[in-house]
Amino acid sequence: MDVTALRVSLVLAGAASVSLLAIGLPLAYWLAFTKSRLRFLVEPIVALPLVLPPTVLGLCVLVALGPRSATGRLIEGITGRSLAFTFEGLLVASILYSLPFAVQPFATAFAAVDTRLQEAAACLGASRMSTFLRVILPLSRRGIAAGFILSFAHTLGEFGVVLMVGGNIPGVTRTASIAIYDSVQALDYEGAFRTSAVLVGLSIAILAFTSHLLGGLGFRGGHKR
Amino acid sequence: MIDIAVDRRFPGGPSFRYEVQLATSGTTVLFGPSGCGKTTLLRLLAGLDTPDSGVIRFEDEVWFEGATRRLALPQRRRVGYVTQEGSLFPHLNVRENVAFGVAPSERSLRVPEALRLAGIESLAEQWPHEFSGGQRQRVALARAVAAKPRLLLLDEPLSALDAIARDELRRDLALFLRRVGLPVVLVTHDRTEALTLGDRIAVIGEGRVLQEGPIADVFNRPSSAETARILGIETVVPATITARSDEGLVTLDANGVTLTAIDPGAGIEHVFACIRADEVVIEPAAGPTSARNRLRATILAIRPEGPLVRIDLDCGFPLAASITRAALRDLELHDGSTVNAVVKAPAVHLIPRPPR
Repeated sequence: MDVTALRVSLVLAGAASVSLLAIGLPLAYWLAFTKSRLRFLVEPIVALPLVLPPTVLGLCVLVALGPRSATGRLIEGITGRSLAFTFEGLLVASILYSLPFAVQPFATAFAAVDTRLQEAAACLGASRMSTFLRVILPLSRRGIAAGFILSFAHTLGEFGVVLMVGGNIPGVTRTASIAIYDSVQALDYEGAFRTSAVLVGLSIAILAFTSHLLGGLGFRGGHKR
Repeated sequence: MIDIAVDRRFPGGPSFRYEVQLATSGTTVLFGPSGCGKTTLLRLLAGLDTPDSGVIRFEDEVWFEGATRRLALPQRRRVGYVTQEGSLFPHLNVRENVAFGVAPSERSLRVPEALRLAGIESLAEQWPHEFSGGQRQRVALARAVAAKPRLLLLDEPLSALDAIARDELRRDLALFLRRVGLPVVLVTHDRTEALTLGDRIAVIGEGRVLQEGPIADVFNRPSSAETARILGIETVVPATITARSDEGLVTLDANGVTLTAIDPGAGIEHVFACIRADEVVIEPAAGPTSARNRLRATILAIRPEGPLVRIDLDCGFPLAASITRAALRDLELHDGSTVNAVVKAPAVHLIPRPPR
């Protein structure tokens, strides 16, 4: 069993899901309440990782981070180094890859908050920010927890993106799913099974917790409040 | 004074044009049938909806000015807005709901005061989902006044309640509003509610304000047939109960005229006596008057209204009667004629009013 790779996976998933709270909550708020037509452009872009092959996404990120692209040069100019084949580069790719898994539950939860409650808060003098923090956020806590957990679990299981962006540096970018692939390639089936068993157990635990939190995973339709 | 002159058009829907000045003291009732635009006007006042053009001024403050695109957000207007269903925050208990619009430093003072005014001190630690409709509305009222509004907007606050709860809360609401002493704009389509709670009334129909004025004046002198139709009662006169009989009847003094009516219930003294025009019978001026609502009256005006004729009478107070054209001919009535107007006791509907 590759403990180092499991640790990298967990740290990456944790960092990605925390970053997605910071990025996803404002983005979801905008998507849930904006009247701008831009929404019809932004929504598909956010949802893109759901349908795109991970290798394609990984390739895009790799090229964007590489020294030949404008963004890559910009990042290198600011940080002094390239993000390709680093943990940070992998994190950027993971955030993009799991974006819909965070933003969709967030936005659905925000949009489900009764507009009349937001109006009541406004009449009571609460600013938009204050209404968000004191009314919308607490009433969306299940959806936010769901988005957090799902993006964590999704990052934990990614393979194609990591392979493209991360390279395979032990202790840095070599995640559990890559380690399993390597073990199988090296005919070390026992090691592969052990690491896999940990991932399976962890995934079931996460999904069971989410199901408990939401009163179901949507197989019977709709989330229970 | 709240000065309103605005247009609001809903794409593919109704258009409203409101031109009215509302008093900033006492309670003004926005009265009209469902769908006539009462709630829209209230939302424009709260800042929850924006007019397409025009002006809204509160005292000397501009809340909306289409020409300069000036708009005060709801947060800046400092109005209390209470909806039909109360819109309580489900994740906060009563105390936290009431404290929502109060600065933290003032909470210890203002929250208990608001709870006491609304009569819900005992519910402070309970949660909205545990409540009946009436309790929810009390919490919503307390929450609104705790935030120190300059104006209270109530959108059919009693309409989501069952009949018993509505009677009870209507009484308490009248008392509450008097104690709070804020200017109130109240939307309703219920006559009893309008007469019990209102000082002034603005009648709304077809997306316009048809008439505005003191409540008895508007009921007695509707400026148009449309207003009269919406109001549904042609005669409303303030009266005081002077005697009660064992037979369930009361004697009233209405502007010096004695009337008999069904007892509205113990403890009620000040009332509006309401009489529909088609329940007034006109007879030649002969025989005794003052017995059992037989009133001597002078005809002020005769106006045809479709197959009927509306007759405005003076019997000590303004009284409207509605009779057929045949009856008008048979009785040979004309302006200035003296007649007897007869109303059966059950046709005199009494609605309690606060003493003023």
